[in-house]
Amino acid sequence: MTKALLAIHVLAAIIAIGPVTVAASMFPAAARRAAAEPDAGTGTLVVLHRICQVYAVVALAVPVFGLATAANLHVLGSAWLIASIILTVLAAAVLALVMLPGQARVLAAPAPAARLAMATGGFNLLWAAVTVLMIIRPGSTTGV
Amino acid sequence: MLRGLRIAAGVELVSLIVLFANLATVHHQNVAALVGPVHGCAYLFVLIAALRAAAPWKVRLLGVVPGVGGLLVLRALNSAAERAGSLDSNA
Repeated sequence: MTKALLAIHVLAAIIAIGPVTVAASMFPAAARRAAAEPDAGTGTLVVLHRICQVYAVVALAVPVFGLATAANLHVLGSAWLIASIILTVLAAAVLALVMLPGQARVLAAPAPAARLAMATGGFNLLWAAVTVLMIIRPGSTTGV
Repeated sequence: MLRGLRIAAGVELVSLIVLFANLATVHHQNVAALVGPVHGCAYLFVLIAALRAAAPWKVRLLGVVPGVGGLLVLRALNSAAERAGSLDSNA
């Protein structure tokens, strides 16, 4: 059962968080172009924002199934897992409280968004750190 | 978002029924381990979809109710839409 939970967890991470990181990274550049050429419209920005919004909700499955996997493996108390939970909470907060509202503001009035780009970079960095923690698992005794 | 809410509301209720049925009968560990997180996901999805709905706070907070929260929100949204529709036809 642990293997099924872990498979769903990894699958959800790839399918849900991948699109968010890519679409969110493309957003600031698209915002710059939309601000430079107001006639071109905001079609691209709308699509990118929609991808971020929808897949952010789908990404809820990642921590839920992750916690279920960890509970099954009895590793909830491990330092590497607690660290990655804290980083995940930080990343989710950046996405929900800074990036999505920031994108909505740019959609309302297209303008270059340097702070949004910085927040997006921070979000991607946090996810990269969590992924590396999940693979290296410092202090884990379960092999690999 | 409304279509997502409808699906999640159904999954939320069905998965909870499966969990309780499992608990009351065979109590199979694997069923609980797999359906539990599914129910958790559906509950969180309903919660967020309800909070983001264009409705009064009384309706949006219905999403917090375990098991049937999503269905309660949908019913409240539907009756509000019907009332708005009948007002339009009266005018």
